[in-house]
Amino acid sequence: MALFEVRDLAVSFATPAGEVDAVAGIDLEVAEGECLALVGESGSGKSQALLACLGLLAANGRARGEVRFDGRSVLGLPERELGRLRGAGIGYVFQDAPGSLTPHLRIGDQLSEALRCHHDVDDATARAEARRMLERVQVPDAAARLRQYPHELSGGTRQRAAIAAALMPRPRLLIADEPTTALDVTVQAQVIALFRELRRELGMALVVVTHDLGVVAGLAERVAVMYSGRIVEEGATTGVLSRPAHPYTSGLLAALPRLDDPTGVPMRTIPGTPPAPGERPRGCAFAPRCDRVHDRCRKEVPALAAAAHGRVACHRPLAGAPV
Amino acid sequence: MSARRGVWSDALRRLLASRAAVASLVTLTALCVLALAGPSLSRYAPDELDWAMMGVPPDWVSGHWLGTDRLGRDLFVRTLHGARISLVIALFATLVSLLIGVTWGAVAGYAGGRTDALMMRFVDVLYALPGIFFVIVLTVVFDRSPLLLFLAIGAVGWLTMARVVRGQAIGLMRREFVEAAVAAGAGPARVVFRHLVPNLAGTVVVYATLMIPQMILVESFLSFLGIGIQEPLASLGNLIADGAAEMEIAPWILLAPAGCLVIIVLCFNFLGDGLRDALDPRER
Repeated sequence: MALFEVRDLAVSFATPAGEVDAVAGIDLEVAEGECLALVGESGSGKSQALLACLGLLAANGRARGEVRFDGRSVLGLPERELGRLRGAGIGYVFQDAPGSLTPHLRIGDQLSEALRCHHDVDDATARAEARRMLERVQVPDAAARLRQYPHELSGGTRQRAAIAAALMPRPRLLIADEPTTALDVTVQAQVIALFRELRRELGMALVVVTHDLGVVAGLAERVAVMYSGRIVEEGATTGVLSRPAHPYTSGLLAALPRLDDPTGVPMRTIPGTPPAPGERPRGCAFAPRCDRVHDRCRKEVPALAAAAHGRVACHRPLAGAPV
Repeated sequence: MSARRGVWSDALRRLLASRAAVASLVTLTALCVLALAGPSLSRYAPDELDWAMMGVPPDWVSGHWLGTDRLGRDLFVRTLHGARISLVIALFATLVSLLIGVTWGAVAGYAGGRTDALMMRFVDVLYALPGIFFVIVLTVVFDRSPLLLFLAIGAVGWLTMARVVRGQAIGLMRREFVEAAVAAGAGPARVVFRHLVPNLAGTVVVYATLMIPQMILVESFLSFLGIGIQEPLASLGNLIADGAAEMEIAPWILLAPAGCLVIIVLCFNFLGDGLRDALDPRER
């Protein structure tokens, strides 16, 4: 049985213009110790889907479907139970991780608090653990950092400290929402290496939300591609990245700039923009931008069906030609 | 050293760079010290009648530095005594309204939705009632003790504080670190009092500093009307009331406490302005 299971999860928000579906029914599965990458453009519903799993939606948001963690149903749990699950069971590293540190609390206080929220340990033990965790995420001079405030640290160190805070109660699953977006490239590489190492050492499962395919390739065993609130392709990372079956995945890969691209040639893009959640077409949401579109695509939403390396939701999947 | 380089020490440095704020701080400290120690500097007690010197203007020879009132009580001592009581009442009233206002506002801002609407409508209703009237009724129904006075003033003073804090709290709730605290499994009480309220400290401190002079004025007003501090106890309010009765014949009886009141109120206002500039988040 999978550690973390999402079945037919739909997220909608009540707006003055009516109910808007941000996520229109997705399935995810993460096994113990596995790493899944969730890829998609901004606004495709990646973050909202995962926030919904922890009951962290905004007040006007509503989640339906089934989310199971360790065999227990999560949606609809009372707030008290959710509080126990958050942090201790599922850790969450936010998109703006440096901003997720409380400004007036010293790093040491925040880290030990993250532990003492969930485990009954005394202050000295929590502090020692905080120091060990900071060292584990490779923050230099950890003892001194513990006494500092967030604004005294560099962006990369803050990111590491935020990751350390999420790791303090030893979650079995860590959700990292775009952990590298706010960082410059060298630090990005370090953070990816860090995640890889942490998984090996702590054996925790990881869900990474990203739109950086480099992160996917470097970190994840499996990848799920989201487009406009649905998963359009899902499978083993190597398979999906080398032989994408969905035209959208293929377009994403083709849009990656390469160093050996001739200069002066415009970059390849996918024409058009994703539909707003309230304005999805009747059929496949990608149809208006797809170069392989035919009549059926405009009428029926394609279901996820088995493909060579996983599953794909497309009426005319690519045969799996290498990109 | 690093520990000292927090947001607060930055703010302190900026505050000390403001001349008006520093001057106010010095004046206020001096006044407080005088109010505490001053009465023992003079050879007269606040309720002691000097039968030989009734209603005399300031006079250095006899030691009545600010003169005496018509009963021969030394005005220097009485003014300092009055300042002490006025300050204490203002501080406690401010503390009471801080306590209620900050908790109320932070909880409303954190809870949001219907709870927030209900809590804030309650504030609106109380706003609609004249606060002074409420205090007067309270002091008439119950006893006229100084304790009740600062409780009553504080109990009507927290409304604006609650509104200010709620607004700030709502802004902070959208910040990632609050979300992160929730996602890390922190319960509501922990989120409100450990992650939310300390971040409001800047606003609250500024607002409290500006509230103290208001409280002093309210207390003085009540005492002036005769429902605040009662004779023979002195507060700035009832001293001014005394003085006002005879300001045409003996203006110094009015000028001593009124001057003191003006100095205190001005200083707190300058200090509040200085603090606001020092803690302005845009300057960080």
